[in-house]
Order: sequence, then C-alpha cells, then structure tokens
Amino acid sequence: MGLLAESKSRKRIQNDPNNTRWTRDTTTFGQKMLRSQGWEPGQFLGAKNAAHSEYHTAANASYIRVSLKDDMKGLGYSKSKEDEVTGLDVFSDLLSRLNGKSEAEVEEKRQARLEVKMHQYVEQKWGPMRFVRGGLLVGDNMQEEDDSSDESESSTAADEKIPAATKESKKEKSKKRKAASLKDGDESSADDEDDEKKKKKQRKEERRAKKLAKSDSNESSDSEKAKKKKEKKEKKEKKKSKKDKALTEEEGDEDAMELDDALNKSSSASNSGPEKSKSSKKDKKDKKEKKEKKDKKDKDKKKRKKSDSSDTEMPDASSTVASRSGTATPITTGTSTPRGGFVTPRSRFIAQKRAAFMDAQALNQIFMVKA
Amino acid sequence: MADRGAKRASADSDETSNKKTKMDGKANPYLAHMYEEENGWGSGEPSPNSPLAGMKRRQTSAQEASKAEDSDSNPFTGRQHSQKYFQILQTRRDLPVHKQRQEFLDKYHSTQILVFVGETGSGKTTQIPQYVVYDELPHLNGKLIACTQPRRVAAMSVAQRVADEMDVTLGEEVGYSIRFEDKTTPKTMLKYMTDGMLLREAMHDHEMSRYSCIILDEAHERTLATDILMALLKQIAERRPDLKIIIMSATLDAQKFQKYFNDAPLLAVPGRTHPVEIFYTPEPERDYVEAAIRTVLQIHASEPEGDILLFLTGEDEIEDACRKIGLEAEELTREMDAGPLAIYPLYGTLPPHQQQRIFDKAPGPLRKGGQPGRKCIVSTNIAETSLTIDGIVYVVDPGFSKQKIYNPESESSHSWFRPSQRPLRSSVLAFKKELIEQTYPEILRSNLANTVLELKKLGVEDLVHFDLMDPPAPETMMRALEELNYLACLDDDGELTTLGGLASEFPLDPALAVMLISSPEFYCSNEILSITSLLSVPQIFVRPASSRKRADEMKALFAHPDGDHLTLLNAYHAYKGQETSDPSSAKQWCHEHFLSYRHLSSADSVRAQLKRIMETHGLDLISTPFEDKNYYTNIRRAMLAGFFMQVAMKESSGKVYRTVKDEQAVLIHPSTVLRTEYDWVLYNEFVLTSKQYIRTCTGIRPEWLLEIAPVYFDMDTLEDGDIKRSLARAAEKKRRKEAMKKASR
Repeated sequence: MGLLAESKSRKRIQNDPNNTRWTRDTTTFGQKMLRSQGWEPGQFLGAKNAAHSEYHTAANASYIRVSLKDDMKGLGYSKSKEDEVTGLDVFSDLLSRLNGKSEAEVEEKRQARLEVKMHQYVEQKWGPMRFVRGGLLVGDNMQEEDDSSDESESSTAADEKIPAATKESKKEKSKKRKAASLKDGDESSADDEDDEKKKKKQRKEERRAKKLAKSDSNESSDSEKAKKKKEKKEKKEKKKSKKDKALTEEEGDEDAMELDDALNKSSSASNSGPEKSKSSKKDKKDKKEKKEKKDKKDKDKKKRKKSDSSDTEMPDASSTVASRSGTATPITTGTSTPRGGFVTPRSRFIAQKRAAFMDAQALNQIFMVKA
Repeated sequence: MADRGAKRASADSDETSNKKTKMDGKANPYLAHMYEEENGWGSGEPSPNSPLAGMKRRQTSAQEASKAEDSDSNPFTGRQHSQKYFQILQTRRDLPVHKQRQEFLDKYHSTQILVFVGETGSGKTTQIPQYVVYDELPHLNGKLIACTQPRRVAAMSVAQRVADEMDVTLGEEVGYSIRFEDKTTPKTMLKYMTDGMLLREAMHDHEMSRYSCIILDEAHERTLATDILMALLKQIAERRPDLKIIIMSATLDAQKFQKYFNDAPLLAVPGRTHPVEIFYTPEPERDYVEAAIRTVLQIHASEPEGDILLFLTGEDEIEDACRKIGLEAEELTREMDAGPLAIYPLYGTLPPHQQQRIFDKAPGPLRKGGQPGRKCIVSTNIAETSLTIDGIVYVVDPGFSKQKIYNPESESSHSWFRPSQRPLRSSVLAFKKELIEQTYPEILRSNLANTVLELKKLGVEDLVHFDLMDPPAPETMMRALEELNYLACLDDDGELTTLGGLASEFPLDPALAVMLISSPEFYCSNEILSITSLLSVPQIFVRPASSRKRADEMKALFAHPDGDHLTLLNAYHAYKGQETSDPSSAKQWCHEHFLSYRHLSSADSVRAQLKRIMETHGLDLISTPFEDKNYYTNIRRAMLAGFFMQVAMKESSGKVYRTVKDEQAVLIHPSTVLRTEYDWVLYNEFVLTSKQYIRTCTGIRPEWLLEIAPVYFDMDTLEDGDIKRSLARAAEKKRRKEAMKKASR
C-alpha cells in the first residue's frame, strides 16, 4: 500500500522472551514456599472450597497477559476493512462460481452491488434526496402532525432535481428497510408499528434535509448559514434526531471510506466496483440486526422515560445505515470525517493519499479487469 | 474508662463461653447481637435529658433517630444546633438513601455483615455512617466507627461534609486519618480513613478492637488494601461477634460480595435519578481520538446547552485533543456563530490550579442573545469515579484507558490499554467481545511484595489459603516471596526476619524500605531518606508539552552525571535551599525551574513521616560532609542495598542493556540524564511502553554488586554468560588492586 502502509515496527525477539526458565524452575524459593503450604501447580490460591470461587477467572489462575496497543483504532476496528482492493468484483464472482455457488446466487450478489453503485452514482450526481414529511393523508384528513414544526424548518432545502423514477425507487427501498428493521425489532412494538414507521420516515427525511442544509451552509453563502443557525435555535427539541444524525453521519463516512473507490470517477455503473465491501456490508447487516435486537431488549428492560423515542431511534440509525451504505453523506470524499467544517490535517492527508489510490478506473485498467 | 474495661472483659468472657457452647445460638457470629444484652454491652445508656434518651444501642429505629436529629441541641456535643444544620438536614432527607433508613437499621440489626449497594448519588458515603452513629451511639461505649475510602481526598472531603452535616467540628466527633495526617481526637466517634490506614492499624491491632463497626466504602473499586481488609475482616468477624461490618459498593459485583461474606444480606438503594441515554457508534472507528473529537464538535455545534466530558487515555493524547478541539471550535464560533467552547484538560500530573479550572463555569454567550457557551473537559479516567463535575450533560467515551499491570515473568509494569468501565461504554454491542469485563482488581495487577510483607506482619501464616476474594496468580505470589527472600525480609523458612519486620513498618516497597534501613551502614541515611521520599511521589520534573526544551534546560541545571537518582537529590537540595532562604518565593522558583512544587512539598512531608519512623526504630540519620569525595559514591552504593535486583548490564553492542534478573533487553528511558557510558546501571522502574525501558537509572560498578549482594550475585550459581563474565572480570580486577595495595604497603 505504499504511502498508506503502516509503519513497520521492527522488534527483536530475544531468547526466552516469556522467561520460561523461571516459570519452569521448580526449585525457586517461591515455589518451595507455596508447595510447602499445600499448593500444587495449576491450583488457585485462596481458601479451599470457597463459596465465591465460582467467580474466579483465568486471571486468578495465572497472571494477566497484556497486548500492547500502539495505534488509534477504535474498539472493534479490524484492519481487514482497510485493505479492500478495488476491481475484485469479477474475480470474486469467479471464485464463488468455482466454490460451487449457483449462478442465481452470484447474480443476486451482482445485482446488490449494482444497486449500491447506482445509489452512489445518483447521489453523487444529484445529491441526496431530502423531503419533508407532510403527514399521512387518510381520506381528507392529515394524520400524525406532531413533528410538523420541525419539518417546516427543515424544508428550506428541498431538492427538486431528482427524477421521479429515482425518488420512487428510493422510497421503495426505505420502506423495505423499515419493514426489515421492524421484523428484526421487538415484537412488543407491534402496536405502534405504524407510528414507528412514520416516525422513522420523518426522521430520515429530516436527516437528509439537514444534511443538505449543513453542506449547503458550509459551502454556500452566509445567509444560508444564518438560516441554519436560526433553525438550530428553534429546533432544540430535535436533539434526539440530531444525535441520531450525528451517528449516521459518522457511519456513513465509514461506509464511504470503503466505497470511495467506486465513487470516485466511476462514471459507468457497470464499472467493477467494490465487491468485497458489498459483501462485508452484508455481514455487517447481519451484525447490526443482532445488535438491534439487543439494543431494543436492553432498552425495554430499563424502561427509560424516553424509551419510545430511543427504541425507535437506535435501531433506526443502524438499520438505515446498514442498508443504505454510502448514502448518508451528501458527497463522499473518502475520509472518515464529514465534509466541510472539521477536517484534521491528519485525515486530510489520508484523504489525499487515498484519493490518489482509489481511482477505480485506473486500477481496473492496471488489473486488466473488464468491467 | 473503667466501665469500658469491664465491658471489654465481659465481652471476652462471652467469647470464651461461645467457644464452649458450640451448638448454642451464641456461637453463630451472625446472631451475636441478640445476646449482647446479657453480656452488658448495652449498659451505657444516654442520659435522660439528651435527645437520644430512650434509645438503646443497636435497637434504635429511624423514627427515634429522626427525632434526635430534629431536636434543638446536638446529642453528641450538647451544643445548640445551628441554622445551617437544619438546612442541611432538609437536603439530607431528600437523598434516596433516607427513604430506606428503617430498612437499613432492621437489616443492620439482624446481621453482622451487611452488603450495601448504592449507586452514585444515593448519599451512601455520607449518610450510612451517620445512621450507624445514631444506632451505635459510640460516645457511650467508647468504640469508634470507621469508614474507609480508597482515596485520601475523598476521606478528607467526606469527613468535612459529614462534620458539617452533624454540626460538629472536623477533627472532634468526626475526624479523618490519612497517610500524612491524623485529624482525630479522643472524642472522635466517626472516623473516615483511607483503606491503607486501617490496614496499617490492623498490623498493630489484629482484632481491630478500637472499632465497633467498620464500613468499607467503594468496595467495588477493589483496591489492594480493601481486598486485604475484606479478607481480614472476614476472619475477625468470626473472632469478634460484636463487630459489625458493612460493605458498600456500587451495583457491580454485589452478588460476588454476598457470596464471599457467606451469603450476607443485601440492601440496595437506587441512586442516579436521571436516566442516562447511551449511544454507540454503529461502526468501529478507524481512529478513536479523531472520532471522539468529531463527536465533541458535533455536540457543540448542534446540541442544546450542557457541558461535555471526554475520556481519553493519557497526557499527550489529551493535550493534543484539546488543541485540535480548540482550533476547530474557534473556527466554528467564527464562521457559524456557535457559542464559545472552553476546553480544560484533566490528568493526574496536571498542576492543581489547572485541575481546579474544570470547576469553572461554562463561558456565557459571546454577545447578548448569542449561542450559550459550554465547557469541554478532556480527562483521563481520574474523572471516572473520584470527581463530580456539575453541568456535565454529554459524555464521550472511546472506551480506552491506561493501566499499569505487573507481569511476574518479566517483572515489568506495562502501561496497558483496557476497555474501561464507565457507565457510558462507547462501543457497539457487536464488539462485546472486546468489552469483556477487563477491570481486574488491583490485587491481580500489582507486585505483591509489599502485600506479602504486610500479610506476614498481620500474622497471616498460610499465604496459600488466605481467603482473598480474588486470589492472586501463583506466579505473582512466588515472585513476591522470592523478592522478600533475597531482600532478607523472609528467611529460608518463610518467616519474617527482624529486617522484614522493620521494613513492614515503613509504608514503602520492601526494596525501598530495605535500602532505607541499611543506609546508615553507608553513612548517607539522610540522603537516602530524601531519595526514597522523592521516589515515592510522582515525577517532580515538569515537562509541559508547550515548553519541553526550556524544561530540559532547567533539568540540566540539576543533572548529575552519575544518574537520575542523584539528579533528583540535587533538585531537592536546591529546593530546600530556596525554601529556607526565601520561603515565599519557593513556589515561583519551582515554577521557573520546571519543578513540581506540589510533588516536592509532598516529598517533603513523606520525608518527615519516614524520618519519624526511622527515629522511633533507632535508625541513625547521618551524612558525610558534602566535600567528601565518596559522598555520591556512598549514596550509589547504599541504593544497591535495596535495588541489587534491579540492575542492568550494557551489551557489548550498542545501547541495549540487559537486566540481570531475567535477561530482558531494555533501553534506558530517554528522560535520563545519564551521560557517562556506564556498563552497569541500577534502575527504579522497568516499564513497557512502545519499547522496554528502564526508568530513573544510576550508574554503578560491578564489584559493588559482589560486595553488597553476595547472595544474589553468587558466582557459583550464576549462569554462564556475559553477566557472569563481566562480574568475574570485576572481581578479578578488584582482587588485583587489593593485592597491589597490600604489596605497596
């Protein structure tokens, strides 16, 4: 990975780094003393048949082993994600065929990949979709207007350019997502399923709107900034959804990181994009679903005051994110930081290097992969 | 007092009768309280005029106690209650724990050992001891109530608070006792103390006979001293049925405590009234610092008013994050009209006046009607439990903290990152594997040499079957025994030697204690005393990130070419010189010379304390004149008497040293002043950070080793290798020199 590669830490391993000489030596004073008091190797110290011994762990049996952490990776961050290489979609298709996957399965995967790419393409070209929830029209009455004040605020940034077709497809998608998340979610919430759906929809749309507002305000005139400022002031109750948004944004950025190869300059949708990332996404989806369940259960147990809102929010955030992948940020730059505003020099540097590497077309040519 | 003696005697006789009638209910330690009436324990009754009139020891009710509290005069001092007292009383009664006062008393009466679980904010630390005071009525029987705290600061501040609440003067009815300060009088009935202090007391009073009730607070923190106290108290409880024990803990591990204390009853009080909403990042973060900074800024930009607390692992990381947040927040304020953001770092080595700044109010809006400001505290895990900062609404926690872990195989301490134990664990449940409870109690993480010495002094013979809640690893125990054996604190049968007994009197690591005890033989006990105190406090040289170069220049003023220990000594002497010549400017002088005034003055008080101990045990305080050419050599040799196990020899190639003990390849820590190329060095600490380092080093001569620690460096048992060869050469050289001397004579 050239410039991006981690600095290698060279380390000389010496004779007997674990000092087994001492461990094995049974004639040391320490061993002698312990044995004389009735200890045998492999036994715990402490009272015999102690009632609390069920709580003893490996740390009581032997000293604590440590591993040195010398990087900044967050909890659970694995290196493999970083090492995804572009242009391997076709190759992995081939591999799955060789591994005896049916043509249908392979095709399904391919379709999923394509969908993601299409999504990214659309978003890159026309930006994300932002709508404001107007409520549900039942007969002649509008329902569910509780969040209306918020919505009118965020309506500043409606986007009209998006073709109707994509709009529809997106909506469909989001419905699917909601359905999925509900299915996974706690059954107890079946009663307010409808409510939940609505809320989610609202929230998502708000998010989008705000995201645009943010990017707009970052990029464009001061007047818009001021507007946004006003919004903020008035929307204090919206703390929840905003927090949510913050999370999604981060998440989105993460995703963007992996998908950026496909994003940058991949003008043709059939371009052999990030197959790997797609599949890993699926894994993630699974994980997330599990997590959702847990989240919900935990929260239900605790019966917090705001259990309703948090119930819907947490899974919402993760599920939308999981399935939506790269869509959370308006324009992806390939950094893990949001665009505009805050970019540390370090991440800026990484972004540059990454961009230089992640020209998917160029890499495809290098690999002689036909898209 | 005679009355008290009689009580004591009758209690003793009761104990003996207990032993005789095993099957009797009296033999059951948990029922002992039911029989106390018979043996005259309840004889001290409050005078009829006192607000406590009619209350019987260990039979009171919450109602009676409340009545006593409401009365005009203080039942313990006899003085009138002040106005402030009643104000505080009102707030005290709003605490969650107050609602369960009767329940507490009932449980307390019915058992000898009680496990009390109360979350932060339940008021357990201040209230429970007072409830016990109103139940035990300690002024009538002359026995104290002790409440231990893991931290000195907590013991002091809680004692102050409780003294206010009870409307008494701190140090009289309510006092505290910490390592350098004993603020108690014979009048004291409630004593807050560090767990270490209680342990020290137990060394001389194996039965803890001064106390009628011992409360171990914050037991969930599982400090070394608390763990040992628990094991001791478990034993003492069987011998002393009149002693009551309360273990107070946060919710964690409550069952474990119960189980440990033979299924002791549990009382739980809800604490935190505000639910905490937890958000996880849905994905693992590539760079947790960056993600944390980003989150802080996002909160600042878009969340309602409320201060932010960010947890990071260490000084460098914190300073760096503060800088970055500062820059970005400035931009945010400038361009987006966000409110001002005040950023305060918080870590252990930060000077106190800077630490105090975290309690500053958040800045107001920049102009009228503007966005409100907020403060952001970037802290290590010291803010986790020991501090309450008002106004914190948002907590950002990447889940890592640094911890020192002792490794018996290489005998090093590792700075280790562990996922932390805070209420807000910022990680997704999917990574639960990484979040497995990894807070090990201190007893599993530390070198046990000192502990073993203490246990021996406490009369614990059978170390293997000592009933600890978390028995330490056998390897760690073996290492401790070996170290003590080499230091001649334990003889070959594992019995405490005279030296060992003496060493246990010092609140020091055995190696330091032995060094101090043998220093008079080297005519430099004054100097060694200073060095010991300096090694027992945090690093006195300050090296702020902003002015490293200047700090290094200043340190160079004190540098001694032979090593860091002597440099410490020089700095201390300079400080003392300054302090005696112009005490008012000492602080300023320290600041100018990048020395920590706080740590120097605490080293000073450690020194005074150690000096007292030395004097009581008849250890001479001597020095050679400063002009003596052996002045520094003596000190270096004296240090070897304690630290002969911590020496390293330079390898023939390059800068790498090899420790004698376990042949670990190490480097001298870059902070050293050691410029001369010494083949042999003595070190204070072996740490593993990015590399294996030995820290605080002083050059020595190999022949001293053979002279001072002949048992450890026994040429017959040493394994063949560079070390043996080098020692043999040194011995040969020395022998020849002596022969020449003789010949020339």
